[in-house]
Amino acid sequence: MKGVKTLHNATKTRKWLFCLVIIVIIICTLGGLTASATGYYSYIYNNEDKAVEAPTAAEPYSSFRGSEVGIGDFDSPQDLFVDSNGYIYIADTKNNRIVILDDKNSLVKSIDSFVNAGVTDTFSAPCGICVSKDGSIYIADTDNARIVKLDFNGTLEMIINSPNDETLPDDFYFKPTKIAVDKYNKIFVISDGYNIGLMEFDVSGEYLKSIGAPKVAISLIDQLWKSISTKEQQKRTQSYVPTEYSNVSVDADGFLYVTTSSYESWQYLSGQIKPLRKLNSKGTDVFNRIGDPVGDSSDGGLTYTGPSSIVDFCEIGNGNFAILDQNRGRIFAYNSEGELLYEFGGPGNYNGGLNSPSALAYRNGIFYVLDSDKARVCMYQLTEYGQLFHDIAKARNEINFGTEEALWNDVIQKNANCALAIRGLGNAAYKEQNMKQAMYYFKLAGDKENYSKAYAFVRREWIENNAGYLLLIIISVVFILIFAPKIMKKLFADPKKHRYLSSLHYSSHIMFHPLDGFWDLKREKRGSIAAAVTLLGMTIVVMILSSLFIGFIFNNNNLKTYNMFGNIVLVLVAVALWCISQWCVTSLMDGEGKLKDIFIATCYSLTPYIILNIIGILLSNVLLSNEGDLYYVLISLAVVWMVLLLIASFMQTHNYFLSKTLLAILITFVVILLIIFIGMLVFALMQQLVAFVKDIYDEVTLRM
Amino acid sequence: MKKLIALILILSVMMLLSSCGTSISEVFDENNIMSPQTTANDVKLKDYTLYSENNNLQLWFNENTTEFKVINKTDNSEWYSTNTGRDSNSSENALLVVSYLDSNGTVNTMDSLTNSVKNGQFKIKKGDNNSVIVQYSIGEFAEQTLVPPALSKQRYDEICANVANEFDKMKLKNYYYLVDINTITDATVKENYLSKYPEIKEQPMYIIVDTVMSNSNIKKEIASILQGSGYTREKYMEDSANFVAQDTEKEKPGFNISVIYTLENGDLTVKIPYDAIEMRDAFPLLKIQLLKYFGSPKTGDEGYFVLPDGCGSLMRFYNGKSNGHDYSVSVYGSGYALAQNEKTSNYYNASLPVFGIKNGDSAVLAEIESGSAIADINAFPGDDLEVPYAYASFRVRETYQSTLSTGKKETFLVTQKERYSGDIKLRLSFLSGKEADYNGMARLYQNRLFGNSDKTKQDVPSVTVEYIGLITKPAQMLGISYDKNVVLNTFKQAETNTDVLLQSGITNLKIKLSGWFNGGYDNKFIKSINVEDKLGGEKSFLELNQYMQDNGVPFYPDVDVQYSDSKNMFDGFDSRSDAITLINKDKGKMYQFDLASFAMKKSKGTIRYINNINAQNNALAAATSAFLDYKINSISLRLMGQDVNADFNESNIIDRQEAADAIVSNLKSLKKENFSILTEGANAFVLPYIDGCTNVPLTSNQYDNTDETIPFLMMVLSGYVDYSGTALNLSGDVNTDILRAASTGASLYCNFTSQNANEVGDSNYTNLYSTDFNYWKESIISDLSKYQNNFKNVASQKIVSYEKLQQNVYKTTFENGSYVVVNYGASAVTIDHMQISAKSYFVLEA
Repeated sequence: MKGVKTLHNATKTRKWLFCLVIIVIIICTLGGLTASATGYYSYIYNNEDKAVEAPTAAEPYSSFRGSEVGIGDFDSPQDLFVDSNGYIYIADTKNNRIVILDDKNSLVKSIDSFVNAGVTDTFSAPCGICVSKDGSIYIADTDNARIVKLDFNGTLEMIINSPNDETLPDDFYFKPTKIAVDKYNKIFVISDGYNIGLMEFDVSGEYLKSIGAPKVAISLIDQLWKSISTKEQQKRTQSYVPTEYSNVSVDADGFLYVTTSSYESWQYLSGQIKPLRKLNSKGTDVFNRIGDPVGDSSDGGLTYTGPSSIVDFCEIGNGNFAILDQNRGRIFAYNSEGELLYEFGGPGNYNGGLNSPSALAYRNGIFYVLDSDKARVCMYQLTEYGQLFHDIAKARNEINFGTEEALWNDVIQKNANCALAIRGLGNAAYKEQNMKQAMYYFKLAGDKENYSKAYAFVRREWIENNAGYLLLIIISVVFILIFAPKIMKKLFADPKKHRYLSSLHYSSHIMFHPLDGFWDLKREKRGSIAAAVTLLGMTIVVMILSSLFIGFIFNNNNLKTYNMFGNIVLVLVAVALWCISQWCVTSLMDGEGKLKDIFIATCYSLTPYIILNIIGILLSNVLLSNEGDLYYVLISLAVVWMVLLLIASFMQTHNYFLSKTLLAILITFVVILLIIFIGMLVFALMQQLVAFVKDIYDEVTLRM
Repeated sequence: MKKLIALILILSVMMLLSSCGTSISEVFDENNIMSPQTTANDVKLKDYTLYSENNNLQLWFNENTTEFKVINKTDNSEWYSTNTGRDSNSSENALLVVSYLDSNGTVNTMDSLTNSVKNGQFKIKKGDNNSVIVQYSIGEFAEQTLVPPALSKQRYDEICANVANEFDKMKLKNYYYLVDINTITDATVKENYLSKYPEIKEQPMYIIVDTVMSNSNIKKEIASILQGSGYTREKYMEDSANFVAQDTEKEKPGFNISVIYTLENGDLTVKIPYDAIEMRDAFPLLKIQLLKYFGSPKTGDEGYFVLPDGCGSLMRFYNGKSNGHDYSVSVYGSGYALAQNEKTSNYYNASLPVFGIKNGDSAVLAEIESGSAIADINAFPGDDLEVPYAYASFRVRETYQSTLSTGKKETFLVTQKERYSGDIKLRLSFLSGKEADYNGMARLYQNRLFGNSDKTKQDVPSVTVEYIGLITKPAQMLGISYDKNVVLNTFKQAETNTDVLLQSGITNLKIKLSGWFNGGYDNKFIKSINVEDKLGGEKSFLELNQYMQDNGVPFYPDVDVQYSDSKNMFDGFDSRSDAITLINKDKGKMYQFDLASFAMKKSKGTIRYINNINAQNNALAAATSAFLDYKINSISLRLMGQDVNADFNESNIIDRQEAADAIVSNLKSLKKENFSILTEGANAFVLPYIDGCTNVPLTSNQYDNTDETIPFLMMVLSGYVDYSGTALNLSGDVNTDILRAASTGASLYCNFTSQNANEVGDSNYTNLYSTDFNYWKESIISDLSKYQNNFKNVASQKIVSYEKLQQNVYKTTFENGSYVVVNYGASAVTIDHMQISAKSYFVLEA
């Protein structure tokens, strides 16, 4: 059932692609396309995750179609394998044949039949091909529902038919599409419609087990739904069905790499789906992810939408690997931690453009891509720039820091946009114990973890060198903490002398004596509007300061695009909402506070937030990331303290009991939500209205 | 809320009013319509009549189909206007195909065969100077058959009396019936008659049977009977008082188009003057495909099309690469005025408005002489279903697909109101013998462009080095964003670096300096030139100029007069009056596009205004006067050689051709002041005026349906204009770029910064990702001097031929006999007893 569905989907996608091509042609013929003198291009994601220009990493080198090697055009070829001698094996799916070419791209042979038990047998839509180390050719003979193993001469060695195993579901139908063979000649097969992992066969073709089923993450809400929905409803809900793998490969160490091609971008953003997984022999994902190999993450664009559709994987040596995106016809290369090295390819009807690539292979600096839509094998050659990454991986494997640093330097000089190179330089500096340099690079690259590591050394060194100063600072801080309140009290607390200063100073009293404090604040007129506004202003300032000056390790703001107005509006709106809703609720619930009292009390409650955040900002600049708890506790404490003060202020301003206070606060929140809801409703309506007016305008002006 | 609604209503009404009166007004003289003939025209006749002849060519016309053939007397080769191997009844044998907007807002096409020639709605006549004029009325003009729906009794009798044939008389009696309104009792029927034929209340009348008017065959039949009886147009006009004209004719699309063919020496020109196109307002003409199948080869013919994308490409007949896609490139790109929402490819422009056909031993070079800026060049290599063709089409009106944001994402087509205001002219030049290949075509075109110019004199290929002075990047201080200035090269540093280059033996150096005034690289609108103080100020700038003069280095300060940065109201730029209007009526902004998703980027700092012609002229005038004050007479004009932007401002629509002409007139005035001009790109119309160009594509787009890249553009430029590709230091592979330069005889170009090279990483100038002079200096100096050394005797030489020796190996021969062999392949080859290692080249001097 599922198989049929995916097939249907596949044709749908193809139709869709076809439509796209037509649209593109129409666009071309209508207006032509803007062209600038760059032609074929590469890009890379910078540390803000924006696509920025990069030198070309691999250039179109040569390409051929079936007719150019003398066997007639390929028809929707689905898979390609390049062996260690450079021989190319192509599963020419709709022509029901296997085509073998040598390393000079000349035809060796085309296998369209073989002798099976004395009778000539043929393939039916073979979709997958793999060649083992000993030269046997494994073919996923898809529509014949079998695996065929031939030797190089085309003599049949083995046929694996549909396994008859009780662990397989009742409606299981064997439809092998992709195949991989490890060095022990164990066979891994993806069967279309079978979504509980890979099927593993032993050397003799015996079905062993299913491994590596993607875990289905079911959220609590989903489970709830499931428990109350009927069986029919459950059947209809597709979201519980794990996504099928699109391809499988085995690396030199025997790890399996499986790719997934159809998913929505939220699914991988929420971690539900990993487009590329590295499985060990037990089927567990053991990929050491720093980056995540997903290709493009963008959903934008009109012609090409959605995330990348990963359909193949290939090793490119020293732990680096590449994946193939069928959606936009691109190849992305990553290092072993899943960090993007370079990108090339892209859609288009020109040499180097890929319209519907289905398979990817790499050998000796050449990428082989099979484009099933163009029915063509396209080859790309690494450029000087692309080669650098291979040299780096090699140097890294050989633990040659010097070479690695020099190479990273080359990369950064050739591409200032390469965040990875900046980090690479940071790593090199770190390994050479040049910690300040390392910190500089890690900061530039936005790598907090490593920055923290390097900073640990710098800090220790500083402490060792400046122990005296440090002691002095600690002592003075302690003194300030002990004596400052007393001095302040002496200087400012007298309400007769300094009306404003004393009312401001009163906030420190409130912090520690909230119940008395808020009572007096209102009844004894210890507070003032001026002080309240000052406190509000200070809150805003502290918020802005903490956005700007929190230590790099703890700062999650994008300082390049940071705008203080957001913070200002946030604080003002929050305070206004809180005060007004509180006033609305309490005036109905016999509260004694006036709007002015509420505002003053609220602002005074912000005091601990201000003070603790200032301390937090200072601390965040000297703490390491593993000491972060201290910082986070402090910040949480500020919030909790503030909340407690807000409750106390509520109670005392309106002269409520605690229970009534809590009830009133609850109602206040409901009112706040209501206001927000209505605000959003108005906003949405306005938006609709604006869009409507704009459409009228467009239509009137453009059509007249 | 009521107020709001009222306000909106008022606004919408105002908008409605304000946008009225901008509808299309076209002339369509009904008297020019050539009425269809009574019998269908036999388009299968293959007789050609000689219409025009000169020393080189003969022009023969098929008087039944308007097809023509040209006989080149030099080699007696025959060139047919349509594919001769095909069924002549097929609409594909039309010489013209017009696309127009129909009343539903969709694009429709008609062609000169089905909708004109087959009905006999055409005329061929001889004109002055060996010219032949072919007039077409394209469309269904059955109403021209003069069949009155109502006839007075008197007229009917008169006609009947004049019809000789009894059978015809009977037909008339069948189709007209007498109606006396007084005998009709049914009120609605009566009303119906009265509304259609007001005169009927005065007297009984003969009314035509309803079905006749909707059946064009019967109508034609009646018309011929009436004509035979001496019924004329005048009489028809008299009778028209009898009936309310059922204005069907205005509801149908119709076009009058004349094509003028002229023999000029060895050329045939095909011209459609502006006035020779007429159409009805309701059916605006969008596009004309001209001579789609001219020179289209028969099965078995061997040859190729020469196509202009990038540096040029070849498409062989029946190369088996049709894959359903048409080759189509816009000449000079398409500009920014067409309001694209995304950009899914980065194709090279076609810089030259030419294409060629080589068939066997003869060839044709087609040049678009008028209307090149609105032209597309299309081609198809041929397959089982369709024959090969290459032709030019002309976007008489540009179109834009507008999408409504609400509801079901409805789209509608927006068209340019006023059509292209110039003539369309194609020049076909016939080549034979040795000249009949792409080398010959390039020579011919080069002669035409530069025939009277002097050749450049250079000892070695030039090296153009660009220094960018100042860029800005978005930054924030205390949460407030501002544009931070980043200095990449001070004037002093530019001098120091140039000194390094000169000291290390680089000769024939050209220095381009950009981002040196008015706010940096994306300069503000040029009202006057204010040299940036951050780079050293005016004094330092003049010192730099002095240094260049002292060392004999041509110095090209770069100004961008086509685009402006405008951040506030006081910088002299008013986007309402100074920027172009896009086709969707937005203000003319140039957007960048996301490399990954192809979508338009709307982030701050990536958008620039597009100057309209007026602003462009003013900016250039201001720049020129400043340059004259500085006594600098060399100028770099940024993208002037590459971008042509139309302006859809309705009060003054500037089509692309006018925009191109405006650029030409600016260049002319600069030339008058003896300026030496450098541009990016090499669009054909700037070539006679510029001295050098950078960022010229050294390769083609290598479209899947083409076979080879040929340096056609370079063959045209070589010897007259100095050209170079993209900056060497910004490619992924310097070596490959040098190989490309070697095989196209190009000069070299670099773009360097002296400081803050890594500051570009988070700016909007991420395209300057590798420009650190200190990093590059060693390797690039050695590359540059090696190249200059190798090409010592080849600089300034014309390229006379380019050939492929074997896979990945190409040979370029220069006029003095020197040649370069380039091996792009991964293994060594031996050519002329010379071993050329992988990815390298050798130069053999004559």
